Amino acid sequence: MSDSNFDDETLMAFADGELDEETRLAVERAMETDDTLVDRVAVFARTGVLSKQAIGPLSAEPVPEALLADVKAMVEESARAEAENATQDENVIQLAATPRTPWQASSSRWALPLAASVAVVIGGLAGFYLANMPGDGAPDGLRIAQFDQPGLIDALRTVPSGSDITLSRTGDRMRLIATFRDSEDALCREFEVDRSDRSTFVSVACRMDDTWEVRFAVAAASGSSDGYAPASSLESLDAYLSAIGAGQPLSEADEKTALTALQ
Amino acid sequence: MPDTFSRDLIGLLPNLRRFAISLCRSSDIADDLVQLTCQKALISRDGFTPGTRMDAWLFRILRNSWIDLVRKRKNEGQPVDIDDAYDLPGQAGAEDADTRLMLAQTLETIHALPDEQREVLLLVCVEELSYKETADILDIPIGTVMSRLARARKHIGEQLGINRDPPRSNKGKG
Repeated sequence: MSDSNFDDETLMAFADGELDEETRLAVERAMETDDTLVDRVAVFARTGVLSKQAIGPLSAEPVPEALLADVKAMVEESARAEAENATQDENVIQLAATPRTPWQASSSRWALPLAASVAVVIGGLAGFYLANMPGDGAPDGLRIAQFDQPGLIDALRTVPSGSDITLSRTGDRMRLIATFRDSEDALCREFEVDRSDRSTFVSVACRMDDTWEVRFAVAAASGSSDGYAPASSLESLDAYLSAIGAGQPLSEADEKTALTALQ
Repeated sequence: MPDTFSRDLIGLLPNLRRFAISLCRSSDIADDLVQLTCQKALISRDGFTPGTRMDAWLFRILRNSWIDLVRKRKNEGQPVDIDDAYDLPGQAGAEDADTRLMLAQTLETIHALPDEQREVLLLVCVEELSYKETADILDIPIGTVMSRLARARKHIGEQLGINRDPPRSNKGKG
């Protein structure tokens, strides 16, 4: 009987509802007159249902506590990692753009370890990052290669932002850019130093335990004789400021109060 | 606060366990496999396309992990013990003794199937994935899915005596 010339796969696909319309109708028509075909289809339909009934209830078993706890812990760990990645992505975007926008003071704590890595990556600052060197005799303890000048430390303490001074010993020019507080409420100053070899340092120093700690510094060859820092170093700075959760620059009056408190 | 992905993942744990237990026929190995699957899924979550069947995506990871595990243990000369005592799923709901017996026989027959036939049967008949989805999970052509599945089901039918092919069923009764 030619109508029965369907192979097992086709009849199974009929039972599983996987046939195209044309073949499905052909099988249906053939089944009307061919009981053998009906029986063959029945085997596939029945075994499909039995398999489901035999194994299906397994999923009703409770998931073992230990497994559930392990997976939940993994989910939490993964969420944490995601959050960190997202932060890094944000910083990459910040690097590409150039907004000197107000920093969100509400930045959370995980930004801090990240901040350190940003500074090192950007500036290669391992050798410059010398915080709280004790007992070296310098009045304020700031001992950073190019910044190791008494006038510079005095300027951090006294000179208002927006001012431009000349450091007496080397003749380097120093610009005080802004004063702000970081997420730990430390008083920080952003400043630039133009050296006589026409390179420029862009830096952030924060007041910690009566010491100025250089948190960020980028040395950039200046493109112009007036010694302004190239935009790329400012982008790096922006990313850094964002990462540490730097607050908005203090107003002139607030800055004056804060600096006076240091005297 | 878990995101949708994590919530769905945890929600599918019973299905993953069911597939794993049936695939490797050992509850202990199954739970390790499910854990490994979740770990891999979380790492490669970007590989999941939202809006597609997450269970299918996870079954693929689980099944590949299983293959890796079998291969690894073989290399280490450590056999995978697939003959662990296996608890039959509770069939208290089955109406009568005949049905319970038949389901127990079905289970036994499925467990005795060659791996390649059993996994296809599990995916299509138990997890209700399409032939296409199953083919994607197993990286085989649809035609292969169909021929393996048809062989598996004909075999079950024969074992349970529901194959109405007269000469064969007579032989089977002997």
